[in-house]
Amino acid sequence: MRIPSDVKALTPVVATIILCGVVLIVGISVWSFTYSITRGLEDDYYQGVKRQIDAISERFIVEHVSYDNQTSVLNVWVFNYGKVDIQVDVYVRGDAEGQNATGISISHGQIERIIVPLVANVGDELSITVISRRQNAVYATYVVPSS
Amino acid sequence: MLSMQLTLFHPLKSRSAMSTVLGMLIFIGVLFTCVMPFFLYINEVNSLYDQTIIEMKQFDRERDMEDLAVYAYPINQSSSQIRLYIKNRCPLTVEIVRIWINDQYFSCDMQIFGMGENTTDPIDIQSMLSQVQEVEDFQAKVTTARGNMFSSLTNPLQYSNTSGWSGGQSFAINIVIELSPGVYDFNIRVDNSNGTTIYTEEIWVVFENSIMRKVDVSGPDTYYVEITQTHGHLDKTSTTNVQITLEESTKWIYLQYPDDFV
Repeated sequence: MRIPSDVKALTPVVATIILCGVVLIVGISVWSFTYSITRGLEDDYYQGVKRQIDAISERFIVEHVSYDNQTSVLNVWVFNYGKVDIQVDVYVRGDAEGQNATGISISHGQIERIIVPLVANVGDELSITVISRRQNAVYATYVVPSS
Repeated sequence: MLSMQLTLFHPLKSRSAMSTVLGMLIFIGVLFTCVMPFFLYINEVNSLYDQTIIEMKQFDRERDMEDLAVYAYPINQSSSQIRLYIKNRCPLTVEIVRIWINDQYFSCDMQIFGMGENTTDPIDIQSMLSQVQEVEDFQAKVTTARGNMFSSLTNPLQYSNTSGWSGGQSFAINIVIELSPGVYDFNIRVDNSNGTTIYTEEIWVVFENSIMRKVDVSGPDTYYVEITQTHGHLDKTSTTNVQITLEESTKWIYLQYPDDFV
Protein backbone atom coordinates (compact mmCIF):
# COMPACT_ATOMS: atom_id res chain seq x y z
CA MET A 1 0.00 0.00 0.00
CA ARG A 2 1.26 3.42 -0.88
CA ILE A 3 1.24 6.13 1.75
CA PRO A 4 0.00 9.50 0.47
CA SER A 5 2.69 12.08 0.27
CA ASP A 6 0.69 14.74 2.30
CA VAL A 7 -0.04 12.50 5.33
CA LYS A 8 1.99 14.85 7.56
CA ALA A 9 -0.66 17.54 7.06
CA LEU A 10 -3.12 15.59 9.23
CA THR A 11 -0.97 15.70 12.36
CA PRO A 12 -1.30 19.45 13.09
CA VAL A 13 -5.06 19.27 12.51
CA VAL A 14 -5.46 16.36 14.91
CA ALA A 15 -3.19 18.08 17.45
CA THR A 16 -5.19 21.26 17.19
CA ILE A 17 -8.45 19.37 17.67
CA ILE A 18 -7.05 17.58 20.71
CA LEU A 19 -5.73 20.83 22.16
CA CYS A 20 -9.06 22.55 21.59
CA GLY A 21 -10.83 19.61 23.14
CA VAL A 22 -8.63 19.77 26.20
CA VAL A 23 -9.20 23.54 26.48
CA LEU A 24 -12.95 23.02 26.16
CA ILE A 25 -13.03 20.25 28.76
CA VAL A 26 -10.90 22.23 31.21
CA GLY A 27 -12.89 25.41 30.46
CA ILE A 28 -16.27 23.75 30.92
CA SER A 29 -15.04 22.18 34.17
CA VAL A 30 -13.88 25.56 35.40
CA TRP A 31 -17.18 27.14 34.36
CA SER A 32 -19.15 24.40 36.06
CA PHE A 33 -17.10 24.67 39.23
CA THR A 34 -17.37 28.45 39.29
CA TYR A 35 -21.10 28.25 38.58
CA SER A 36 -21.77 25.87 41.45
CA ILE A 37 -19.52 27.84 43.81
CA THR A 38 -21.24 31.14 43.01
CA ARG A 39 -24.69 29.55 43.32
CA GLY A 40 -23.69 28.21 46.73
CA LEU A 41 -22.32 31.58 47.79
CA GLU A 42 -25.48 33.29 46.56
CA ASP A 43 -27.65 30.93 48.54
CA ASP A 44 -25.55 31.32 51.70
CA TYR A 45 -25.55 35.08 51.35
CA TYR A 46 -29.31 35.19 50.78
CA GLN A 47 -29.96 32.97 53.78
CA GLY A 48 -27.74 35.22 55.93
CA VAL A 49 -29.48 38.38 54.79
CA LYS A 50 -32.90 36.71 55.08
CA ARG A 51 -32.13 35.93 58.72
CA GLN A 52 -31.25 39.57 59.30
CA ILE A 53 -34.38 40.73 57.46
CA ASP A 54 -36.55 38.43 59.57
CA ALA A 55 -34.84 39.70 62.72
CA ILE A 56 -35.48 43.35 61.88
CA SER A 57 -39.05 42.58 60.76
CA GLU A 58 -40.01 41.12 64.11
CA ARG A 59 -42.47 43.20 66.12
CA PHE A 60 -44.27 42.01 69.21
CA ILE A 61 -45.61 43.39 72.47
CA VAL A 62 -46.78 42.15 75.82
CA GLU A 63 -50.41 43.05 75.33
CA HIS A 64 -51.81 41.94 78.64
CA VAL A 65 -50.74 40.26 81.85
CA SER A 66 -52.87 38.65 84.51
CA TYR A 67 -52.17 36.50 87.52
CA ASP A 68 -54.45 33.67 88.55
CA ASN A 69 -53.81 33.10 92.24
CA GLN A 70 -55.96 29.97 92.27
CA THR A 71 -53.74 28.12 89.83
CA SER A 72 -50.55 30.12 90.57
CA VAL A 73 -50.10 30.95 86.94
CA LEU A 74 -49.04 34.18 85.32
CA ASN A 75 -50.75 34.66 81.95
CA VAL A 76 -48.80 36.73 79.48
CA TRP A 77 -50.52 37.62 76.22
CA VAL A 78 -48.01 38.35 73.47
CA PHE A 79 -49.21 39.97 70.26
CA ASN A 80 -47.09 39.47 67.15
CA TYR A 81 -47.89 42.49 65.01
CA GLY A 82 -44.82 42.11 62.81
CA LYS A 83 -44.50 40.52 59.41
CA VAL A 84 -42.85 37.23 60.34
CA ASP A 85 -43.77 34.33 62.57
CA ILE A 86 -41.90 34.24 65.85
CA GLN A 87 -40.92 31.89 68.63
CA VAL A 88 -40.66 33.39 72.09
CA ASP A 89 -39.59 32.52 75.60
CA VAL A 90 -40.87 34.34 78.66
CA TYR A 91 -38.78 35.06 81.73
CA VAL A 92 -40.20 36.60 84.90
CA ARG A 93 -37.96 38.16 87.53
CA GLY A 94 -38.58 40.37 90.52
CA ASP A 95 -40.50 39.50 93.67
CA ALA A 96 -41.37 36.14 92.13
CA GLU A 97 -39.50 34.18 89.49
CA GLY A 98 -40.55 31.84 86.75
CA GLN A 99 -40.12 31.15 83.08
CA ASN A 100 -41.56 29.48 80.05
CA ALA A 101 -38.71 28.72 77.68
CA THR A 102 -40.51 26.30 75.41
CA GLY A 103 -40.33 28.58 72.40
CA ILE A 104 -44.02 29.31 71.89
CA SER A 105 -44.75 29.94 68.22
CA ILE A 106 -46.85 32.96 67.32
CA SER A 107 -47.91 33.55 63.74
CA HIS A 108 -47.80 37.10 62.46
CA GLY A 109 -50.91 39.06 63.34
CA GLN A 110 -51.84 36.62 66.10
CA ILE A 111 -51.99 36.82 69.87
CA GLU A 112 -50.93 33.97 72.12
CA ARG A 113 -51.38 33.41 75.83
CA ILE A 114 -48.20 32.16 77.44
CA ILE A 115 -48.48 30.49 80.79
CA VAL A 116 -45.73 30.99 83.36
CA PRO A 117 -46.12 28.97 86.54
CA LEU A 118 -45.00 30.95 89.58
CA VAL A 119 -46.13 31.74 93.09
CA ALA A 120 -46.71 35.42 93.68
CA ASN A 121 -48.38 37.43 96.40
CA VAL A 122 -50.56 40.51 96.24
CA GLY A 123 -48.42 43.56 95.57
CA ASP A 124 -45.48 41.63 94.12
CA GLU A 125 -43.71 43.55 91.39
CA LEU A 126 -42.73 41.44 88.41
CA SER A 127 -40.45 42.20 85.52
CA ILE A 128 -41.45 40.28 82.41
CA THR A 129 -39.02 39.74 79.56
CA VAL A 130 -40.14 38.17 76.32
CA ILE A 131 -37.23 37.11 74.12
CA SER A 132 -37.64 35.85 70.61
CA ARG A 133 -35.44 33.15 69.18
CA ARG A 134 -34.01 35.82 66.89
CA GLN A 135 -32.84 37.62 70.04
CA ASN A 136 -35.29 40.50 70.03
CA ALA A 137 -36.71 41.33 73.43
CA VAL A 138 -39.64 43.26 74.86
CA TYR A 139 -40.23 44.08 78.48
CA ALA A 140 -43.21 44.68 80.71
CA THR A 141 -43.86 45.19 84.38
CA TYR A 142 -46.75 43.90 86.41
CA VAL A 143 -47.94 44.36 89.96
CA VAL A 144 -50.06 41.51 91.26
CA PRO A 145 -53.46 43.02 92.09
CA SER A 146 -55.50 42.31 95.18
CA SER A 147 -58.12 40.16 93.49
CA MET B 1 -0.08 29.94 -4.98
CA LEU B 2 2.58 29.78 -2.32
CA SER B 3 1.20 32.83 -0.52
CA MET B 4 -2.31 31.33 -0.60
CA GLN B 5 -0.99 28.16 0.96
CA LEU B 6 0.76 30.19 3.69
CA THR B 7 -2.39 32.17 4.41
CA LEU B 8 -4.55 29.05 4.61
CA PHE B 9 -2.29 27.00 6.79
CA HIS B 10 -0.72 29.73 8.90
CA PRO B 11 -3.13 29.31 11.87
CA LEU B 12 -2.45 25.63 12.03
CA LYS B 13 1.19 26.36 12.40
CA SER B 14 0.42 28.16 15.69
CA ARG B 15 -1.89 25.61 17.28
CA SER B 16 -2.10 27.37 20.64
CA ALA B 17 -3.76 30.41 19.06
CA MET B 18 -7.12 28.71 18.63
CA SER B 19 -6.94 27.28 22.15
CA THR B 20 -6.13 30.73 23.49
CA VAL B 21 -9.18 32.13 21.75
CA LEU B 22 -11.30 29.31 23.14
CA GLY B 23 -9.83 29.77 26.59
CA MET B 24 -10.53 33.47 26.42
CA LEU B 25 -14.11 32.81 25.30
CA ILE B 26 -14.59 30.42 28.23
CA PHE B 27 -13.11 32.97 30.61
CA ILE B 28 -15.47 35.62 29.33
CA GLY B 29 -18.30 33.10 29.55
CA VAL B 30 -17.45 32.41 33.18
CA LEU B 31 -17.30 36.14 33.81
CA PHE B 32 -20.67 36.84 32.26
CA THR B 33 -22.59 33.78 33.41
CA CYS B 34 -21.19 33.31 36.92
CA VAL B 35 -19.27 36.22 38.36
CA MET B 36 -21.32 39.15 37.11
CA PRO B 37 -24.70 37.57 37.97
CA PHE B 38 -23.24 36.80 41.39
CA PHE B 39 -22.45 40.45 42.05
CA LEU B 40 -25.80 41.55 40.63
CA TYR B 41 -27.54 39.05 42.89
CA ILE B 42 -25.63 40.29 45.95
CA ASN B 43 -26.62 43.82 45.04
CA GLU B 44 -30.25 42.80 44.71
CA VAL B 45 -30.24 41.06 48.10
CA ASN B 46 -28.63 44.12 49.69
CA SER B 47 -31.35 46.27 48.13
CA LEU B 48 -33.97 43.97 49.63
CA TYR B 49 -32.37 44.41 53.04
CA ASP B 50 -32.26 48.19 52.68
CA GLN B 51 -35.85 48.21 51.49
CA THR B 52 -36.94 46.18 54.51
CA ILE B 53 -35.21 48.63 56.85
CA ILE B 54 -36.99 51.54 55.19
CA GLU B 55 -40.34 49.71 55.36
CA MET B 56 -39.91 48.88 59.03
CA LYS B 57 -38.88 52.45 59.85
CA GLN B 58 -42.01 53.65 58.09
CA PHE B 59 -44.04 51.03 59.97
CA ASP B 60 -42.62 52.21 63.31
CA ARG B 61 -43.22 55.84 62.39
CA GLU B 62 -46.86 55.10 61.55
CA ARG B 63 -47.18 53.18 64.80
CA ASP B 64 -45.90 56.18 66.73
CA MET B 65 -48.39 58.42 64.95
CA GLU B 66 -51.40 56.43 66.10
CA ASP B 67 -53.47 58.35 68.61
CA LEU B 68 -56.91 57.30 69.77
CA ALA B 69 -59.30 58.64 72.35
CA VAL B 70 -61.30 55.71 73.67
CA TYR B 71 -64.45 56.08 75.75
CA ALA B 72 -66.03 52.90 77.08
CA TYR B 73 -69.57 53.29 78.30
CA PRO B 74 -72.35 51.00 79.42
CA ILE B 75 -75.41 51.29 77.20
CA ASN B 76 -77.55 52.22 80.19
CA GLN B 77 -77.27 52.42 83.94
CA SER B 78 -77.80 48.71 84.53
CA SER B 79 -76.87 47.22 81.18
CA SER B 80 -74.56 44.24 80.77
CA GLN B 81 -73.46 45.63 77.43
CA ILE B 82 -70.61 48.04 76.87
CA ARG B 83 -69.85 50.10 73.82
CA LEU B 84 -66.68 51.94 72.99
CA TYR B 85 -66.72 55.28 71.29
CA ILE B 86 -63.34 55.73 69.62
CA LYS B 87 -62.06 58.93 68.13
CA ASN B 88 -59.07 58.67 65.83
CA ARG B 89 -56.82 61.68 66.40
CA CYS B 90 -54.21 60.82 63.78
CA PRO B 91 -54.29 61.11 59.99
CA LEU B 92 -53.85 57.37 59.44
CA THR B 93 -56.55 54.75 59.20
CA VAL B 94 -56.44 52.71 62.39
CA GLU B 95 -57.62 49.12 62.62
CA ILE B 96 -58.91 47.91 65.98
CA VAL B 97 -58.20 44.20 66.41
CA ARG B 98 -59.12 43.57 70.04
CA ILE B 99 -61.07 45.04 72.91
CA TRP B 100 -60.06 44.14 76.42
CA ILE B 101 -62.41 44.30 79.36
CA ASN B 102 -60.31 43.41 82.41
CA ASP B 103 -58.63 40.06 81.62
CA GLN B 104 -60.95 39.05 78.83
CA TYR B 105 -60.59 40.09 75.23
CA PHE B 106 -63.08 40.34 72.43
CA SER B 107 -61.91 40.16 68.83
CA CYS B 108 -62.84 43.12 66.72
CA ASP B 109 -62.41 44.14 63.13
CA MET B 110 -63.08 47.82 62.89
CA GLN B 111 -61.35 50.49 60.86
CA ILE B 112 -61.43 54.14 61.75
CA PHE B 113 -60.37 56.57 59.09
CA GLY B 114 -57.96 59.38 59.82
CA MET B 115 -59.48 61.92 62.21
CA GLY B 116 -62.70 59.93 62.09
CA GLU B 117 -64.70 58.29 64.82
CA ASN B 118 -66.62 55.11 65.31
CA THR B 119 -68.57 53.24 67.94
CA THR B 120 -68.16 49.53 68.45
CA ASP B 121 -70.99 47.03 68.54
CA PRO B 122 -72.23 46.28 72.06
CA ILE B 123 -70.02 43.88 73.99
CA ASP B 124 -71.87 41.65 76.37
CA ILE B 125 -70.07 41.15 79.68
CA GLN B 126 -72.90 39.43 81.54
CA SER B 127 -70.59 36.53 82.41
CA MET B 128 -68.24 38.98 84.15
CA LEU B 129 -70.99 40.95 85.86
CA SER B 130 -72.53 37.80 87.28
CA GLN B 131 -69.34 37.23 89.27
CA VAL B 132 -69.37 40.69 90.82
CA GLN B 133 -69.83 40.61 94.59
CA GLU B 134 -70.93 44.12 95.58
CA VAL B 135 -68.64 46.46 93.59
CA GLU B 136 -66.00 45.84 90.95
CA ASP B 137 -63.91 47.97 88.65
CA PHE B 138 -63.74 47.31 84.93
CA GLN B 139 -60.87 48.50 82.81
CA ALA B 140 -61.33 48.74 79.06
CA LYS B 141 -58.65 49.10 76.42
CA VAL B 142 -58.25 48.50 72.72
CA THR B 143 -55.41 47.08 70.67
CA THR B 144 -54.64 48.22 67.15
CA ALA B 145 -53.21 46.20 64.29
CA ARG B 146 -50.02 48.28 64.52
CA GLY B 147 -49.49 47.04 68.06
CA ASN B 148 -50.61 50.04 70.07
CA MET B 149 -52.87 49.89 73.07
CA PHE B 150 -55.17 52.65 74.24
CA SER B 151 -56.98 52.60 77.55
CA SER B 152 -60.45 53.99 77.88
CA LEU B 153 -60.58 57.53 79.20
CA THR B 154 -63.59 56.54 81.28
CA ASN B 155 -61.61 53.90 83.21
CA PRO B 156 -62.35 52.51 85.65
CA LEU B 157 -65.99 51.77 85.04
CA GLN B 158 -67.43 50.77 88.36
CA TYR B 159 -70.27 48.30 88.60
CA SER B 160 -72.32 47.79 91.71
CA ASN B 161 -74.90 45.05 92.12
CA THR B 162 -77.26 47.53 93.69
CA SER B 163 -76.83 50.78 91.80
CA GLY B 164 -75.39 49.69 88.46
CA TRP B 165 -72.69 51.61 86.66
CA SER B 166 -70.74 54.60 87.86
CA GLY B 167 -67.13 55.55 88.11
CA GLY B 168 -64.34 57.47 86.46
CA GLN B 169 -61.24 59.04 87.94
CA SER B 170 -61.40 62.62 86.71
CA PHE B 171 -63.89 65.43 87.13
CA ALA B 172 -66.18 64.75 84.23
CA ILE B 173 -69.73 64.44 83.03
CA ASN B 174 -70.30 61.46 80.75
CA ILE B 175 -73.30 61.91 78.53
CA VAL B 176 -74.86 58.89 76.81
CA ILE B 177 -77.83 59.31 74.50
CA GLU B 178 -79.65 56.24 73.29
CA LEU B 179 -81.60 56.61 70.09
CA SER B 180 -83.17 54.67 67.29
CA PRO B 181 -81.12 54.68 64.07
CA GLY B 182 -81.72 57.81 62.03
CA VAL B 183 -80.24 61.20 61.29
CA TYR B 184 -79.92 63.62 64.18
CA ASP B 185 -78.19 66.87 64.96
CA PHE B 186 -77.46 67.24 68.66
CA ASN B 187 -76.10 70.38 70.26
CA ILE B 188 -74.59 69.88 73.66
CA ARG B 189 -73.90 72.79 75.96
CA VAL B 190 -72.54 72.68 79.48
CA ASP B 191 -72.49 75.75 81.74
CA ASN B 192 -70.96 76.03 85.18
CA SER B 193 -72.73 77.65 88.14
CA ASN B 194 -71.53 81.13 87.08
CA GLY B 195 -73.32 80.76 83.78
CA THR B 196 -70.10 80.42 81.82
CA THR B 197 -70.29 77.94 78.97
CA ILE B 198 -67.47 75.46 79.38
CA TYR B 199 -68.35 73.05 76.61
CA THR B 200 -70.29 73.15 73.35
CA GLU B 201 -70.40 70.65 70.56
CA GLU B 202 -72.59 69.96 67.59
CA ILE B 203 -72.85 66.26 66.76
CA TRP B 204 -74.32 64.88 63.58
CA VAL B 205 -75.49 61.33 64.12
CA VAL B 206 -76.12 59.12 61.12
CA PHE B 207 -77.60 55.69 61.79
CA GLU B 208 -76.10 55.11 65.20
CA ASN B 209 -77.76 53.46 68.18
CA SER B 210 -76.13 55.68 70.74
CA ILE B 211 -73.66 58.49 71.19
CA MET B 212 -71.36 59.22 74.07
CA ARG B 213 -69.42 62.30 75.04
CA LYS B 214 -67.14 62.91 77.98
CA VAL B 215 -67.14 66.49 79.18
CA ASP B 216 -64.18 67.29 81.41
CA VAL B 217 -65.00 69.82 84.08
CA SER B 218 -62.72 71.83 86.32
CA GLY B 219 -63.88 70.58 89.71
CA PRO B 220 -66.74 70.31 92.15
CA ASP B 221 -69.66 72.47 91.10
CA THR B 222 -73.20 72.26 89.80
CA TYR B 223 -73.24 72.16 86.05
CA TYR B 224 -76.12 72.84 83.72
CA VAL B 225 -76.29 70.46 80.76
CA GLU B 226 -78.51 71.30 77.82
CA ILE B 227 -78.87 68.99 74.84
CA THR B 228 -80.95 70.02 71.85
CA GLN B 229 -81.82 67.96 68.81
CA THR B 230 -82.33 70.35 65.91
CA HIS B 231 -82.71 68.09 62.89
CA GLY B 232 -86.29 67.95 61.62
CA HIS B 233 -89.23 70.22 62.13
CA LEU B 234 -89.22 70.65 65.89
CA ASP B 235 -86.29 71.20 68.19
CA LYS B 236 -86.33 68.97 71.25
CA THR B 237 -84.34 69.75 74.34
CA SER B 238 -83.24 67.98 77.47
CA THR B 239 -81.82 69.88 80.42
CA THR B 240 -80.17 68.53 83.53
CA ASN B 241 -78.34 69.93 86.53
CA VAL B 242 -75.37 67.79 87.45
CA GLN B 243 -73.60 68.09 90.75
CA ILE B 244 -69.95 67.11 90.78
CA THR B 245 -68.42 66.52 94.19
CA LEU B 246 -65.08 65.34 95.47
CA GLU B 247 -66.67 62.06 96.47
CA GLU B 248 -68.33 61.51 93.12
CA SER B 249 -66.10 63.14 90.57
CA THR B 250 -67.63 61.58 87.51
CA LYS B 251 -71.33 61.60 86.77
CA TRP B 252 -73.07 59.63 84.07
CA ILE B 253 -76.14 61.04 82.32
CA TYR B 254 -78.22 58.55 80.39
CA LEU B 255 -80.84 59.98 78.07
CA GLN B 256 -83.18 58.34 75.62
CA TYR B 257 -84.24 60.16 72.54
CA PRO B 258 -87.03 61.20 72.16
CA ASP B 259 -88.43 60.03 75.52
CA ASP B 260 -86.26 62.28 77.68
CA PHE B 261 -86.48 65.30 75.35
CA VAL B 262 -89.27 67.90 75.27
